[in-house]
Amino acid sequence: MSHVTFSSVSKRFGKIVALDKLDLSIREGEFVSLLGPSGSGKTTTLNLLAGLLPIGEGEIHIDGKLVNYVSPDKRDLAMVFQNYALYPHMTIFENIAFPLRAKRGRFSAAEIDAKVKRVSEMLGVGDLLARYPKELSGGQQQRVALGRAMVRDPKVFLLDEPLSNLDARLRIRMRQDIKALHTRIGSTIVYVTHDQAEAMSLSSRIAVFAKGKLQQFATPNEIYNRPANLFVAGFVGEREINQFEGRLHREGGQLVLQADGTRIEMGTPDGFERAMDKPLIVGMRAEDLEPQATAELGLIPATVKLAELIGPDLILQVMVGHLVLDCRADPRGNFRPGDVVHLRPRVDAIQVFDPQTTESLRNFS
Amino acid sequence: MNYRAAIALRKTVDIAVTALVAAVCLAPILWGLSTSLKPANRIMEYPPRLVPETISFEHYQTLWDQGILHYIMNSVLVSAFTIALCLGVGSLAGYALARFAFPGKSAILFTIVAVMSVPISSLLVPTFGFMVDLNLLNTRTGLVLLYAAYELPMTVWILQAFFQTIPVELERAAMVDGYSRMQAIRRVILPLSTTGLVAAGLFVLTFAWNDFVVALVMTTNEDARTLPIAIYNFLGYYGREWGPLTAGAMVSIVPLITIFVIFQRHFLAGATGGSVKG
Repeated sequence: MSHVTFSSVSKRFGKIVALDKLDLSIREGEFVSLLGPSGSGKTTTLNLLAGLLPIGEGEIHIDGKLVNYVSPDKRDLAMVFQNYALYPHMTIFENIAFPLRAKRGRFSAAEIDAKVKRVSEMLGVGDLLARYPKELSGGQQQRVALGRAMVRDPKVFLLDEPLSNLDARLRIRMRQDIKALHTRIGSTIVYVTHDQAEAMSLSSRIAVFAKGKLQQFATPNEIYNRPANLFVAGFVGEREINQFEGRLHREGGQLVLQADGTRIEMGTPDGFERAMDKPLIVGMRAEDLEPQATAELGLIPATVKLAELIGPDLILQVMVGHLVLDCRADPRGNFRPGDVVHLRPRVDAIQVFDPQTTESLRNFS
Repeated sequence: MNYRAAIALRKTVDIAVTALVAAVCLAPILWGLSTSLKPANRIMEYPPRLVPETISFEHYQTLWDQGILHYIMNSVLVSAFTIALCLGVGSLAGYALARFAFPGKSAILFTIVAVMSVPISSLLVPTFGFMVDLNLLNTRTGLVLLYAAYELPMTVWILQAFFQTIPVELERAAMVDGYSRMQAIRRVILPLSTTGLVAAGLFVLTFAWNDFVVALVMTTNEDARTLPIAIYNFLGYYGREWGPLTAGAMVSIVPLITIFVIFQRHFLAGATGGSVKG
């Protein structure tokens, strides 16, 4: 178990800045996801940590030791690759044993045998040891790749989109397995993914990347409920957050949000002080707009355009004036296109962003 | 014509064409084999026979008596060391070109292709001068160095193209697993490159084993003479000695054909490519 620090780390490929002054501190035993779209710098970050790319500027420390010039084989890490990178010319046994046979290992044949057996049993590939990688299914190959990483006791586990080549159901099962594994072995894990659901479900903390820059580094809860900027708010969540232009002002004692001719009376919530009386981009998640059939004071009238039943959720697309918003209704509710509904906003969950900088203007206590 | 008949016809034509090509290619070899097994007084008989009436190994005996083994050993040693040198240097150079980005890389790749198109005969006179100055005339070492120089561009080219088909993650995985880059090449990349290595090795072998012109120029005595020169000398020294000449040709062909047959699986796989998946 180890801690990892990136200090002002940058990496360029030709003229492209792949990573721009990254500062990131990963604590011992933490499960950290690097989340972002492709080209955001997350995989570059992982490869720099593994030593597979020469570092441009800045410093990386593992356990307080500078590793900028330490080659990958001496960093004592384990890595699982997106395409698994199993050695095609070796049996499953030899694949898992490979890290133990490296010079630093010095394990006896009996020790190697015992370790490979233990790990392969744990991952349910114990009866496949004599086979070759190409004879295994994708899910089995995935487990072998995990096994090869787990057979040692590395300082940090690096996982590069390990689930993205699996089908949807298997992905969810392996996600749970990885989470259980982390709970069990308690190692420091750095996990690269572009799937926000994976990052949310697995991580102690998530680092959100875009265009080579770290956008926010926080717990899943904070990332979801207190996004630092518009990008994070938009990238995280099953569906895109509702976004529209608006303006906040005070009428009497209470806050009023004015957007496209619609007035939303917000009462007296805290945390909007920096957002008063200026143009804003407002973000509201579907689950923070609850539609109901009956009118009440303070609710926003809207017309249903579309109704989608997705498992436990009924998602309505509604029109408020000219705004098109998603909102989440009780799946047992009976809403049809054309119905008039009344939206109850969760006022404290409303996000406000500066249109120029896209930074959040909310203060959270 | 119905479909079935069309297929049958096409098959027949395919076989006929293939047979014709094979016959044209193999006829001289068969004729040589036949001649080498005839007694000396029957070689020029008229009408000629493809299948000898009596089989005689006298010409092979002549070869042996004249010390053909010396030339065979020269050819074997020169070919083996040329292959080893080409694959050793070529795989490292090919790996670097396949995996690293460095200034001047495309210039190097371009030069390699350009050098391949220089005819060897145009280099003979200057290289002869070099060989004399370096005291490498009439040495097997000299031949090995020259052959390696001629064949390295092709070797590097084949191998760098082959290495590019191997997923880079495999050696990255090996490095994270605790192996240095050289160890990763040796334990992961090279075992997966047998096809490419065999293909390149066969190219080098064909050249080194069959070369006549370079060996003729660079050897002025018997010390380093290779098999093709020895065979040629049967034409010159004792008039037309067809028997030993064809027997010598057979001796030089058989090892090459044997090796191609052994490795043909790899060679074909190398030609079709894409046989390695991550």
